[in-house]
Amino acid sequence: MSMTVLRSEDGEERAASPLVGLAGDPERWYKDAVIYEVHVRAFQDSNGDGIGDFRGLTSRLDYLQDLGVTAVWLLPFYPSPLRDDGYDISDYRRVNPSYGSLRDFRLFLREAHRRGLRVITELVVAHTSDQHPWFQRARRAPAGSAARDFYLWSDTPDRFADARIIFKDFETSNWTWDPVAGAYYWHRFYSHQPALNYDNPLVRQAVLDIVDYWLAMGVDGLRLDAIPYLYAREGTTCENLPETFAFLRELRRHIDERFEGRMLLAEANQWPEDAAAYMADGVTCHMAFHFPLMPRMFMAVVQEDRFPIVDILAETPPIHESCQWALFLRNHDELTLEMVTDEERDYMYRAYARDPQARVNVGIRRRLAPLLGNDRRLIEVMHALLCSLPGTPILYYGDEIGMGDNIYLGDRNAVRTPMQWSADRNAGFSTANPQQLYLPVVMDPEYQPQAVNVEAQRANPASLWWWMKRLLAVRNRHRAFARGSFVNLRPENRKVLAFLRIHEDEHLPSRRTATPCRWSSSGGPSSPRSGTCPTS
Amino acid sequence: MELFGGTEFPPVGDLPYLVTLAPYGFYWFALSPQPTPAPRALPSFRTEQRWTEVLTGRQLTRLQQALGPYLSAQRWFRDKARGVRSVSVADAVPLEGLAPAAAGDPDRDDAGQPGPVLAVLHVELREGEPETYLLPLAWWPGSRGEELHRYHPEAVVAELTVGERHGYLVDAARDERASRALVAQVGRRRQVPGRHGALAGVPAPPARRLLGGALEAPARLVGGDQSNTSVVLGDQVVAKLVRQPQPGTHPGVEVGRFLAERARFPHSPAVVGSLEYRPAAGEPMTVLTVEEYRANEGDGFSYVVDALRHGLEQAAAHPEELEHLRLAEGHVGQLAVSDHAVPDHWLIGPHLEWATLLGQRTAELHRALASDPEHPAFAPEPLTATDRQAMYQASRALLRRTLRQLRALPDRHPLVDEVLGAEHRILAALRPLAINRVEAPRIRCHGDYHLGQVLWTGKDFVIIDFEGEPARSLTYRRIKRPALTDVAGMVRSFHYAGQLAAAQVAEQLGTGGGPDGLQGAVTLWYQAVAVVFLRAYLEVAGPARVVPPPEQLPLLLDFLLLDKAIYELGYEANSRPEWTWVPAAGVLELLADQP
Repeated sequence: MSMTVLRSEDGEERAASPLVGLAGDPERWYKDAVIYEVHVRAFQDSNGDGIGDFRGLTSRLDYLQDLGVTAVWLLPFYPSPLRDDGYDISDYRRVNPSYGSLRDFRLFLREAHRRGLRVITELVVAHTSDQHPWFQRARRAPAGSAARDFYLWSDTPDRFADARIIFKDFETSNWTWDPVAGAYYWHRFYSHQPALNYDNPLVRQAVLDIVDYWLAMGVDGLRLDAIPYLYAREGTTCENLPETFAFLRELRRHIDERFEGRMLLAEANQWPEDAAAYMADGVTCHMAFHFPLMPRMFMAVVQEDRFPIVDILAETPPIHESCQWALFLRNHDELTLEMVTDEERDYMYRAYARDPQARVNVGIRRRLAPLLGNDRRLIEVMHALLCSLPGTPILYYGDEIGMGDNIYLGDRNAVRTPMQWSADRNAGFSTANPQQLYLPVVMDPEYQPQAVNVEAQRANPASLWWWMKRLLAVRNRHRAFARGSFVNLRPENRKVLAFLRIHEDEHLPSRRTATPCRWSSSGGPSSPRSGTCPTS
Repeated sequence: MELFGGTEFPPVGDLPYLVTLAPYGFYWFALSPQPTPAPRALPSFRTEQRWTEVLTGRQLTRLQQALGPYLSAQRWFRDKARGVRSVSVADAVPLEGLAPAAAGDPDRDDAGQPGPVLAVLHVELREGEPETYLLPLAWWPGSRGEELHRYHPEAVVAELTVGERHGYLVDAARDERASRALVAQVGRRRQVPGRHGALAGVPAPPARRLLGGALEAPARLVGGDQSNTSVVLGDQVVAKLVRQPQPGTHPGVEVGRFLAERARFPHSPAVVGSLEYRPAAGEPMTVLTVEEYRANEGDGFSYVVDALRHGLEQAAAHPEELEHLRLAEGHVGQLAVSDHAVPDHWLIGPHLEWATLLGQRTAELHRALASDPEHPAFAPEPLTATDRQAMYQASRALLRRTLRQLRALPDRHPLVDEVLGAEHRILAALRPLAINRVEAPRIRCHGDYHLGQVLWTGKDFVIIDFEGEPARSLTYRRIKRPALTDVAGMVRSFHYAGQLAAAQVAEQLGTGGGPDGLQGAVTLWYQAVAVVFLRAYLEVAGPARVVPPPEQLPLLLDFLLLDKAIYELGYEANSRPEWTWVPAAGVLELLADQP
């Protein structure tokens, strides 16, 4: 792919993204973006093997552009045993053959850029698959050798005892015995995902090489998976350690020296002050997910009270002006409830997951529409919040048409079923035999493709799809949503959330956006109440 | 402003702002500072006993100096570009005691003070002839004055302290007593004397029936247009203050009364009467017109734009259903007299009825205007070869002037550039009128006819505003023209409505729907609606011989459409350069078949 090479003032060569100079702010595009999260496997199958692929995804880029999104976040598409939906990578430099070839990926990248869409990929380097050649080599290498030290080994399973077990439905310890090595190896998620040892300089160099490889190809942003867990130290929770931040600074410096207009997005499922640390001073990541906000938006809706949202935003420290929070309602994982108090979690389970089958780990495995009882007004108000609170909104594929889920599919596959394009066979996703699909299409009578699909909704201007398109159009037209400061207002009625987004722009008169949202009063639709919001 | 529908909400003040939300409802507003004019240093006056002392002696000299900057800041002041040299108060007619106090009047917080005064201003300009403007004045003390000063600073002329009471000298168009006094005077026999002239009422037949009730009902100011200020009294009459009166017959009153009293045309509001200022020396001038009020759902333009927006949203969702739908090639005039069928389609269907009705009403208007061969001001006259030559020459001169204006514009739209490069083709398209015979009478026309000049009542149209283009002289506005002049104006406004609706829908849907994506739909709609309108018009107007025979019709209509589009180009270049592309597209469309 062709690359523009820019020469910075000190004469160093920096590779610009092919999009630099096109739309908007080429350096801080992520602040103005609307991100669409999609799994290649789930979007469109072009060759009839029942698995989505890059050619299929490329053929749907016009659809994404039409919807109004400006960036695509791809879940891992690398070769993998697929025991954790691709987050167990066995080769960092190739494309999983079921999704196509590296050529297909490059074509996808080019076509996305041609439409002004940025591409964000996954950098999953806290751990590898146990099938990765590094691990195979390490378990056979003699103890103490550099190859062995790509991972963390121990003779006993009781070191780092203060570290929590994250997938507690599936794992009982963070140590697993490897009979080949004759030792326990360290892992934070599944036992087939051994954690890399960042104390080994060879590991750090190997990771930087992978980063260079993808960014040089033209990828615009990297989501750093499980980034708080890079290092382990005795007597700590093994999360958010100073060594981790030191490595992130090194990574950022490395990227800034070589590339322009790229973005690092930290996945740190942490309380706001800890998550904000991943964007400290603008020298580590550009963005971080705001995990605690998400469950509180759901809580505010069910409690009909603005407090949870106002409270968590008040707890959120200011971030560097080059940085931005990433906001989401739902994603490919469970609706995680780790960042809430025990009482809140209990409340959330009772409100949103009465069916125990819907619960997994510390969370709820449901899509947005079923979570909200398929209430169009609720779905709308949640998206309105997503698009107006401070941060960059991330939409999860299918939520723009209110797709359903299948909570009987095990693990988090409930929310990873094929995209529903039409009422045709396999929802228009694939021409394969329905039995051959990577996951079955949703069959719930309320959400099956005959009821919920893109084709039908695009043909009806009153549908959720069109409503979303209008919402995104409004957001994209006003920079205050992306860049404005946030001022909370306090209307007397606690069921009303009202705030200002203020953005001064030299080209525009100062523009403020006030967004009162109202939670239902118990009186229902027939008891209108007025919220007063004193605005200045 | 609300962001999804683009609806303006009331301004935010100091008091709590009330918003009612549905369950799980939300609003997104864009808050923008009110476009307040740069704060004017408010001149300050002091009088001993009565506020009207400000209109005498040394105070008057100072007031006259202050009026120059005041007028220049008013929307209705049309001579901004010519520059004010000096203002003098030519007369001040007291309006005190003309109307009894009514329910809507504020409490008399200025007890003991004289009532409002109608000031006739003589304005000397740096360029050209002096003009006359009207400014009713009143003194508002206390909280009423403070509130006006805060929310409508443009209506405050000066600070005026009378004795110990602080107050403001204000534009009394907002003063109910002043409006009521003026309307009351319309129905009176006795003239109200000023210093150098008098106010005389000229009642029309409905005055007896309507004025009494209207004067007891509350008055409300409705958004004035650029040249007038209108007040509705009790949903019975509309009074329009003519800000810049001219000596001579006011065409609005003349045509309005002719239609109601001679032609018995039911689709325009009857004139209730008017008020003339009769100077001691010189011709009278109309300063106020009063018409009956017709309840309505807004003007035709907003009605059509709203209706079309729904259709265009559908069109954006179903582009494939429009792909093969095209009317035959050709200009709308040509198509109207052909037998091409208008496609039966959801984009057009909802518009057939109003377009047909509007065509009928327009033709009935022209029949009514041409109905009295005995009345010298209304008798139809033939369109002679000399007239056609003159029309061509006038249009040619307009084109030259307009192109010069366009060339001076920075950041021209590509379509405007294309027009600039097509001067010869435009001239060639105007030329046929000068050399081909067209048999059509010249009649009195509406003069400024477009969708904004018809009110939609929910089931019918009411045609309003017969005063012509206010920027023109009264005599120019009274010239007879081919009836198709009005028709061309209306058809052009369909084009505007279409483009505006497309722009709004495209903005609402983001880049994906793009205005280009809707262009096909808008063109189809415009052609179809214009053809339906024209056919309905011709069906009624044809037999009355107010239009040329079908074979000559396209030629005249094309000329008038092109002439109108050129006029619009100049108008937009002056006032809204970002809209110049709309008339530019109209001009180019009319050149489409030209070699």
